[in-house]
Amino acid sequence: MNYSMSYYIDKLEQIKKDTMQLEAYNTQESTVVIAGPGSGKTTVLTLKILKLLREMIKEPRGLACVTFSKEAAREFKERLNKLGYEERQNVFLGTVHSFCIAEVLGNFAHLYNYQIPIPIKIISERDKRKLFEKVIKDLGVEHIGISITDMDKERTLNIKGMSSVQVPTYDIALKVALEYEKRLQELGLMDYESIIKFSTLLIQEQEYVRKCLSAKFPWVVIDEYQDLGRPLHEMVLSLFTKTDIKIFAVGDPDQSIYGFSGAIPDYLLELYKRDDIIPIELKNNYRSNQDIVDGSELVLNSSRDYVAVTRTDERAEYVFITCEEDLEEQYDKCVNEIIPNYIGKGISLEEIVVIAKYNNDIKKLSSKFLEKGIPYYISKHDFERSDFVKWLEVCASWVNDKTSVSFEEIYLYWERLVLNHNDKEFFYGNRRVLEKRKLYNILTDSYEFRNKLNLWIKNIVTHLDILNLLNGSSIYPDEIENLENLIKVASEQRYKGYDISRFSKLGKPENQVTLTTRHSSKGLEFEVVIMLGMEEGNFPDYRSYSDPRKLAEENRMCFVCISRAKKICVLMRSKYYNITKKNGGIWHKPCEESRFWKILYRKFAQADFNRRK
Amino acid sequence: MKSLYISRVIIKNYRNFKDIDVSLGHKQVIIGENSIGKTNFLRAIQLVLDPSFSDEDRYLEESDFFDGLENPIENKEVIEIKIYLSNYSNNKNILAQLSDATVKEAGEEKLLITYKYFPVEKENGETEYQYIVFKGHDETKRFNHEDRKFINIKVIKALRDVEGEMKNTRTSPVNKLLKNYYIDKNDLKDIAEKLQESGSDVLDLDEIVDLTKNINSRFSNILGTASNFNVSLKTIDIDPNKLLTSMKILLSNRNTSELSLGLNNILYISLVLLLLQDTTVPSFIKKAKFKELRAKKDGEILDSAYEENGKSNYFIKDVLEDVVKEKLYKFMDTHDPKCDGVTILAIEEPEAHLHPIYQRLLYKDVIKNNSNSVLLTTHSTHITSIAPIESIVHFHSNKGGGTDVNSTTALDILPEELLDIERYVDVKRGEIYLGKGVILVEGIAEEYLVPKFAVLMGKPLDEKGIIVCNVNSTNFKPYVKLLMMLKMPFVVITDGDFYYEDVSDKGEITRKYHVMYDESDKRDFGYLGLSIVSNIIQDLNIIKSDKIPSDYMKQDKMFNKLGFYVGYYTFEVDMMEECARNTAENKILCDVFDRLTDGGDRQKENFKNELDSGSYWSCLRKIESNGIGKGRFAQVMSIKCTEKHIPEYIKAAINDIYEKVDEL
Repeated sequence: MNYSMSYYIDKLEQIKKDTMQLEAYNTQESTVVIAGPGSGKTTVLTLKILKLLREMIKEPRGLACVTFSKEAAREFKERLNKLGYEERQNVFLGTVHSFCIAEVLGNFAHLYNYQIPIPIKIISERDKRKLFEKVIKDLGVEHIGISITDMDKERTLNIKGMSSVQVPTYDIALKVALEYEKRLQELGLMDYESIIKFSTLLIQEQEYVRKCLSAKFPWVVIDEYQDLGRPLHEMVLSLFTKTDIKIFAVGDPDQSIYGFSGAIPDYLLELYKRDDIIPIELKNNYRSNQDIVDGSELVLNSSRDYVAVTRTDERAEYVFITCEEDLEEQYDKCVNEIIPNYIGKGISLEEIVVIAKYNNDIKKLSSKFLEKGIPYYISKHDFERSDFVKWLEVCASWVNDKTSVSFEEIYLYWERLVLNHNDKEFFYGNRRVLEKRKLYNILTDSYEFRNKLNLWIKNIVTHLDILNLLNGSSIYPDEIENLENLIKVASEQRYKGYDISRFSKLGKPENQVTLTTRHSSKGLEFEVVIMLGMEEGNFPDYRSYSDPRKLAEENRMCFVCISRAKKICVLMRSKYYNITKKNGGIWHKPCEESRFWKILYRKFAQADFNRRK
Repeated sequence: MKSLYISRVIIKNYRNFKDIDVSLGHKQVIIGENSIGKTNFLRAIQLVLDPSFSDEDRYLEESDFFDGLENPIENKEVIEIKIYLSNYSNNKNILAQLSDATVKEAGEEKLLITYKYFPVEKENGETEYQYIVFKGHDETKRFNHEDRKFINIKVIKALRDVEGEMKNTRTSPVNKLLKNYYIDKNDLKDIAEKLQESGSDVLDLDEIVDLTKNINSRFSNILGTASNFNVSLKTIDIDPNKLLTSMKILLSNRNTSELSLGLNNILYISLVLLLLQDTTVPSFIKKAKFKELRAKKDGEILDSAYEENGKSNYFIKDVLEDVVKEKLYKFMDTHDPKCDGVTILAIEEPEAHLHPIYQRLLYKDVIKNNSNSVLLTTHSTHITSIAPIESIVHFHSNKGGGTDVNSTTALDILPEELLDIERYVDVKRGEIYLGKGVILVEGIAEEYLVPKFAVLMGKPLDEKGIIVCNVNSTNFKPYVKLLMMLKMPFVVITDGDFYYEDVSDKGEITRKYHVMYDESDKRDFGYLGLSIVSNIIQDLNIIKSDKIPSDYMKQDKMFNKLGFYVGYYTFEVDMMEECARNTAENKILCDVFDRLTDGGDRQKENFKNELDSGSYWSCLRKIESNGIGKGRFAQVMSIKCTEKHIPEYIKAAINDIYEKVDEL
C-alpha cells in the first residue's frame, strides 16, 4: 500500500475530534490505553508511532512495536506505509517472538552463560509433541490428561519478577513443565516459550542488555497487551522500571480470551493502575450502533459506558432463531434462509460472519456453503501463513503486477533466508547479483502458471530448490512440512479455483462470507454477526461453571463476539442435541437457551423493543 | 566526559604487520622510526572506520600483504584487521547503531569490528579476493557506511595543506562549524542588503565619478560618438547565502595566509577538534528553542546553566558545577538528542613546523584535554617527553622483517613510580622510547663511563641505537616494567654492594658495607645488589621465589640470563679492582685523581698507596670528598680510560645488549 497524504490528514483530523484519542496521541510519558471494541485503536497506535518517530526520536534510535500476531504486525506495517512512514533503522515491528529472537537472543545470548543454544535451533511441532509425550510417560502422569497447552501455560506462569498478580498453579503440569524444559535444554533446542523466557531473563538480569535495548528503542509500543501473558509483562516491567524506556501499551482487558495460554486481563490492569503511567480509556465506539454496544456490555456483565458515535440514529436488529435439534439444523438454516435473506437485503458477503465454537464446526459448515454455492472465507487456512508463505503471497502479487510491491523487498527476504540457511560465502562478490537475477527470472517465468495456484507454487518451490534449502532448518523447523501441506491442499477442494491473484489476497475475504471460531473473530468487524450454538452448556461451556475465572472469560468471549457486529446480531440455538453415548446409544439431550441469549432476549426481543424499532 | 576509544587492534598479514595485537587507550602517542609502519597502522584502522575510503580503497592488492609472505594470493592468505571499541555504553546512538557488534572480552562488553580480505572460490575453480567488514563474530552483520556515520576516524595527514583546506569553503572547518548553527536566512538577507547599500556609496565618490567619465569618453572615442554604449561601475553583488562562507578567520588580526605554517597547523587542529566535539549540550540556544525546551520536564536546569544575552538568546555559562553539567547533559540527551556519531581523530606528526614550546602546548592543552579520542604519530621528543607513560605505542622492527607494535596501556605501576619515570622521560626528552636497546644504570658514573667502555670494546652504543638510562637509584622496577611492555631489549647494570654480617651479643644482625671480601673473615656475607634484583624479578613475576637458587654464583648466572648484571662492590671499586695489577691503568686512575683533587701532594701520595695496597674504599672516599665527586671523576675517566678498566660484569652486559639488538 502506498503513501497517501489525504489518508494521513483524514486520520489526523479524526483523532483530533476525539478528546480521548487525542490525549493518547499527545502523551509524552509512558501511557496505557484501554481501547474498547471499535474505538479506533489502530489509528491511534499507528499515528502515535509516526509522531514518536517524527518528533521525539532521532536517528539512529528508533522504537519497537510488538504485536501479538504476525497478521497484526503486517497490518501495522501496511497502515504505517499508507500514512507515510519511511523505512528507517532500528524500528522493530513484529511479534514478541521475533523481537526476542532478533533483538534479544540474537544479539546478546552469546555474551552470557545461560546455556542458550547458539545459533538458536527451534524444535519442530512434531518433535515437541514427542518429547512432551515422553515426559508424560516417564513421569507416569498419562492418566491425568495434561495437554501441551497446560504445560506451556505453567511454563509462562513460572517466571519470576515484579508483578504482584497471583495466579493459581497446576502442580502436576508444573512438574511436567520443569522436566520438559530440562530435556529440551539437554537437546540444545528451544521452543517459543523458552525463547521468551530466556529473553526475559536476559533483560531482567543483564544491565548491558537493557542499556542497548533502551538506546535502540527509547519507546516500546505494545498492541493487544491483554493477550501477551506473564513473561512479556515481566519484560515490560523490567524495561520500564530499570531503564529510560517509555511504554505505550494498548489493549482491552475485556477482550482477554486466551486464558488457556496464560494470558489474563490482570497484567494490563496492573500496568494501567501504576502511578507512573498515564491511564487513558477510549470510550467512543466507531463501529456499532448503541444497541450492539449495550448488548455487548450486558453479556460482559460489566458496565463500560461505551458510546456509539457513528451510527447514532440506528437501532440494532437482534434476531433469535430456535431450531429443533442439533447444530446441523442451524447450519442448514444458516445457508438456506438467513444468509440468502441478508443477501437479498443488499448486504455484501464480506459483511457477514458466522461464528461457531470449534474448528470442526467450521469445517462442517463450510461444506454446507459449498453445496449451496455460497462463497465463503475461513480466516484459518489449512496451512500456516508463515513468514515464508506470506513471502510467497507477496511474490504472487508481484508476478501479477510488478508495480504492486518492490522486487527489492522480495529479494531482501530471500537473501536473508538463504544467508540464514546456507554457507555464508554464498553472497560474496558477483554471486549476489547472480542470485538476484536468478530470483527475478524464476518469478517472471512463473507468470505462465498464474492461473493455477498449485502449479505456480510447485514451480517456484522447485526452481528455488526450497525444500533443499529449508532441510534441517533451525529457525523454521516446521516450514517444509507446512509447504508440503500447502502444495497438497492447493489442489484440493477449497483452493482449487485459486489463481495467484486470489492467493496474494489470502488475508481478507473477497465477496465471501467469513466463517470463524469465536477466538479467531477477534479484531474483525461485520454488518451481520451470526452466532451458532447458543445453548447453555455450550456457551458458556459447562466445564467452566466451577471456575469463576473461566466463567468470566466466557463472558468476555461473548462480549468479543457481539461487539464484532455493526448492526445485526443473529443468535441460533437448538432445543435438543443428539449425543452418542459410550454404549453406542443416542441421548436426546434437551438444551436450554444460553444465559447470554436470555440476557439479550430479555433486553432486545421484548415487544416494546421491537415496537420502537 | 571521555568518548569511546579503540581499545585493541589486531592486524594480520597487512603490510608491515605479520600478526600484531596491541592494546590502546583514549589518547595514544605512536612512536617509531621512519618507514616503520606508523602510517600503515593508521591505514589499517581506516580500512575499517574511515568513511572517506571508497570501495576501491578497501579492495586491496597483492602488495598490501605482509612482505614476509611468499605468493600470498596463490597461497590464499587472509588479511584481517580487528578493532575493539570500549567506553561506549553511555552513548545511546552508538548502542542503538552498533550493539549487535558486542562481544565479551575478559568479562567486559566491547564492540568488535573486523575487516577481512580473503579468497572466495568461484564455481569454475578460480579464486577471487573479496573484502568484508562485519560486526561482532557474525560475518552476515555487515558494518557499512550507515554505521560509519556513527563511529569513524578522521586522519590529518603528515603532508597536509592546512592553508588550502582552510581557504576551501567546502573543507574549511570554520564553515562546517558555522553549519552547526541554524542561522535565520532572513537575518542574512537583511545584512546583505545593508552591505550592498553602503557599498554602493563608493560610486558617489567624486574620484569614481571622474573615473567613470574618463572611461566613457575614451570608449566613445574609439567607437565613435554614434555608438550608444554607456560604461558604468557597479560594486560586487552580495549574496546572502555566501555571506557566511566568505568569512575569514583571523589570528591577531592577521589572515591565515599570512600566518606561519606552524600556527596555522595549531589553528586547524583546534578547529577540527572543536568540530568533533559532542554537541549534545549546545553552547548557544536561540530564544524560541530555549522556550520550547524550558517547558519540558526538568526544564528548570536550563535556568542555572544558561544566561540570556541582550538579544534574548541564550549562552551557556562559562563555569558550571559538575552536578549541573551532568544533569544538563541528561536533559539535553533526552529532549534534544543529537544524531551525531563519534569521530576518532588521528594526527600524523602534529609537530610539523612548530616551535618546541608550541609542540608541548599542542599536546597538553589541545589534545590531552579533549574529550575525543586522539591517536597521534610523532617523531617529536618534545611531545613524547610529556606524553603520559601509559599512552605510548611503540613500533620497532622484528627479525622477520616486519614491525612489532607494543603499547604501555596496560602498564601497571604505582603512582609514585609513574611520577618517577615521567620525570625521567621528561628530563631526558623521551629518549628511552627512541632507542633500540636500553642499558639501565644506577648512577652518573656509569652513565658517563658505560658508553666509553663500549667504544673501547669496539661496540659503540650509538651505532646500534642503544641508550644508557640513568635511573639515579636502584629503583629499576618501573623502568624494567615499561621496557618489558614495549618489548624493548634491555640490560640492567647495578652494584653488588657486598656486606659482612655482624652479630651482636644480643644476636642482632647488622650489615657492614664498604668492606672488601677477605677469605680469612669467617663472618656471613651477602650482596645487596643480588637481593634487589631478586626482588624485582619476583615482583615482576619473571621467576617465582622458590626457583631462585640460594647460591650467589648460581643466582648471578640466572640474573645474567635475564639481563641483570650485578657487580661486587660499587662501580668505582670494581673498576679499581679490575685493573689491580696493571700499572698503566692504575696510573691513569692516579693521574685523574691528581688532576681533580684540591688536596696536596701528600694526599695524592696517599691515594696512590691505597690504590696499590687494595684499599679501594679509602680511595673512593677520597674521590667523593676533596671537591671531586663520582660524577666529575667518571667524566674525566671517560676520556682517559682503557679497556682494562672495564669490570667484567659491565663487559658482559654490553656484549649482551649488543647481541640482543643485533638479533632484531
